[in-house]
Amino acid sequence: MSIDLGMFHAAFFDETTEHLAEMERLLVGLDLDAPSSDELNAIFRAAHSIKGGSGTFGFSDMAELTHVLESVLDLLRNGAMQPTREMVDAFLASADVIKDQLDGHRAGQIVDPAAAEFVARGLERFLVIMDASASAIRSAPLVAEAGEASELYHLQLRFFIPAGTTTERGLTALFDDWAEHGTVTVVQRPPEGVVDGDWEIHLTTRDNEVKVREDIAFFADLSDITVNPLPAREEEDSYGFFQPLPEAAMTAAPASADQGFGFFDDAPGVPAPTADPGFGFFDDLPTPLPVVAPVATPPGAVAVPYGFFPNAPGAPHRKSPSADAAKAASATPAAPKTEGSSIRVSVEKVDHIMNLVGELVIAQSMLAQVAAQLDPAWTIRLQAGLDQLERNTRNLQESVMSIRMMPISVVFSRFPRLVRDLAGKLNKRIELITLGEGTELDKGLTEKLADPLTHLVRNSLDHGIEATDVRRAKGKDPAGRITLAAFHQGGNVVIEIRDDGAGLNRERILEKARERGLPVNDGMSDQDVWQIIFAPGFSTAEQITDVSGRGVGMDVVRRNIQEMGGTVEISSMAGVGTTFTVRLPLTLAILDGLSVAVGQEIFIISLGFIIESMRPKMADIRTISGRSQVVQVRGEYLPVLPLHELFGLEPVAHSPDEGILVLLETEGRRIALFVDELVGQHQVVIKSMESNFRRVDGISGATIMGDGRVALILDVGYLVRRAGRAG
Amino acid sequence: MTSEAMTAPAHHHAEPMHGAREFLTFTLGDEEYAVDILKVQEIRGYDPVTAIANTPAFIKGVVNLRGAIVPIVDLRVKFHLGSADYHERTVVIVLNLSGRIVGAVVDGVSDVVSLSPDQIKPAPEFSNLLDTQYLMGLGTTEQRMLILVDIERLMTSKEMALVDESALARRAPVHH
Repeated sequence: MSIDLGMFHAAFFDETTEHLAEMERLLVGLDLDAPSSDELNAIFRAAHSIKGGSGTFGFSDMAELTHVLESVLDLLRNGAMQPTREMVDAFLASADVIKDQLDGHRAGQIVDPAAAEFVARGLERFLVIMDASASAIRSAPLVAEAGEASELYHLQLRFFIPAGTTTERGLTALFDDWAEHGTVTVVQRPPEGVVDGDWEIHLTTRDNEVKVREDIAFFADLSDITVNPLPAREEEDSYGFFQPLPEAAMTAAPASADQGFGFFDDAPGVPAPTADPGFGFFDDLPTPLPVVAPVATPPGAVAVPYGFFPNAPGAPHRKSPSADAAKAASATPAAPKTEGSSIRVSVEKVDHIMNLVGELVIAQSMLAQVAAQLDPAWTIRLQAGLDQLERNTRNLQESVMSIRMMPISVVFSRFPRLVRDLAGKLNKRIELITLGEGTELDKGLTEKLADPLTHLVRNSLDHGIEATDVRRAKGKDPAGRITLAAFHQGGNVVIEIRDDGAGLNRERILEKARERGLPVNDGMSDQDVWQIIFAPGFSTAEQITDVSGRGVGMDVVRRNIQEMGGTVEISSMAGVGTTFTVRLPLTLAILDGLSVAVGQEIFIISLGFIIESMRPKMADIRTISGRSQVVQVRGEYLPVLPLHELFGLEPVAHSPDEGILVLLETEGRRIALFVDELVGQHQVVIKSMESNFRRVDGISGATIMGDGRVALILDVGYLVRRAGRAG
Repeated sequence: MTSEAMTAPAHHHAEPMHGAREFLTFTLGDEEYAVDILKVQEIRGYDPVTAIANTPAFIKGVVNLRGAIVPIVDLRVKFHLGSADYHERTVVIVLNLSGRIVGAVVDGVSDVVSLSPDQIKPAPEFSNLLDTQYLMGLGTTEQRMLILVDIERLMTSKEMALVDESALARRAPVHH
């Protein structure tokens, strides 16, 4: 049978990426002094899964490297070696190479084997260090196999076979197949010789639920199959319901087959007494019901020494099996598997649904507008239906939005590793604290957020946190602390990058700014001074490191964040530390907006930028050099930007006291936008102008209003810069 | 939406000849133009547009086309042909140019013609309306002369100002 493996590749790539991330997370978090065996096992399992997958898909370079990795991990897992910092470094390096290899396969390119060779040799060093080096290496894969066998599925399988659909031979062949890698116990079946009826089987197998289901469905065309996981761990130890049994061997891991499971062993000489206590509990049965062992075994070998069947010698008296079965059944739901609680869906599919829901919202509000113009006496029921429709569409929209929401931990998870590497490189001691990792934001944002956040963290690490001896001299904790915190505030996600370093140096920034000919003066507010570091090419670093200091980046950081519709602010105190506050909309797709009218046109302003709206008194309006106007608001003079002038429109209100001033703030600056009137507050679906058209100055996007017309969303950042230039 | 999409004009030729291509013909003033039918998504009436500030006069603005924001270009204004008034019979050809959707206002849409390669002659150098780089040639059929416009090249050109230059640069290598 030939199967096109290509369709499985994508799943393998995704899973391997997750395994690698998990491995990296665990490695970075590993306590070298007291490594937890759970964690070591988990790391091993991740490597093992990668090896298995890459082998299956024929990615031999990955399989080879992970094999070496797995060998070393196995020694750690078994306590044969203690993990060291060097080992963790080597593991992380090999994880990086595996990641590269993976990317290579994904792109259909061959990755240079030299890197893999290099890290593999680094790993092998640890194997050689072991005393019995040769045997350790040789035995490693064997131990790995045993380890693998302990990852078995314990399943309860129930199905009904309609008359005439299959033969007993077909079923027993399947049981034999399963029994090769596990155990098969028939708990319930139709009378001997009859195959159609209800079956219940307990299975210990390497195959997962899906595979088992497929297997059984292949032999019998069954529509009604239940596969439930049985509590696995408990079984291995004490089995609860089989408590009185000294050897709870029934469904225990077959890896320990030497202990009690002789019935899969063809050897006739298996000592009967060992098996007896384990299997005897099926006596007292009125019908020869429960166990089907591999039928292929010589009948004599099965029947006599193991006592599956009634009256078998040596079978001790136990509780009736029906009671056992009942307990087993009641125990089953106690350990539900969390597997299957999530699905993988391509982002395009979700986006398509989003678009459709967006259309639905528009269609719904169009209907609502039409209905509002009808005579209410005639339309009470229509109105009620439309209200219902509105609630439903809102709920649907929120649900669909939430599909795209992801916890920010997907971004934060990269930082422990980054900080560890950089701290090592810079010879600093850094403690990284992450808060609010469960804070959710749009998937599109998480992807775009990674770069600017990385830059800010690097910056804090390199420039913010002082060198260890400097910190000691200042009486600070020698270990610097970087805190990444995320939380929701209003309609925004706020991400803070805090460090307890030296703080920004106001004089230095001003001095550098003067050197570069930037327009600065000593009277500038701190907020304005800090904003200078976002100027292109600006750096105050005394020496350029390979971490940062080239002055490339802070401007890019700010631009990236603004492109997401966000802002970044700085607060800093000398000797205490610096905090970068990144404020982002919850989602790229929806915006809470205020609609304003100028002439015949409607524009949308994101609520996030609006401080307040007001109708000014003419006395508060001053003119500067006969042209530009400013308005005095609580002692502060703000430049007035008439939107109609900017967009060449014919306004209704020609003077600010006839219209409305909307006070906007971004990038630490405030302006007063002069419009005709406020129209209303809406949640609007943001549509891209660029997909069919191009970027337009002053416009950040568009949306479709209830009447089907397009309204433009104002780019407040542009307006503020524009007003600054004019003033 | 105030107007429904109109159905495309019926084809005159049931069987296109071997190697022949089909073109949608339209008029601008007294001249007859034609564009590759495969670039045409639909033909609609003219919906009120949302004007965009600081754009050339021939870019009328943007409309909502089933949820997408689509720019509308008035080719009559661009080429100073016909009268730029808008009423219920004003026609917009909605073009799909490698995934980008643009609406073009014209005087009227005539029909679909099939032209074999020998019916298409190279364009002379004297066309004063359209730079020859935007012309695929002149088509002749039944005493008519059709100016065949390479509409994708025209609409994505810098002078139409419909596409960001950075996007243009990205698109250049895959231009067909």
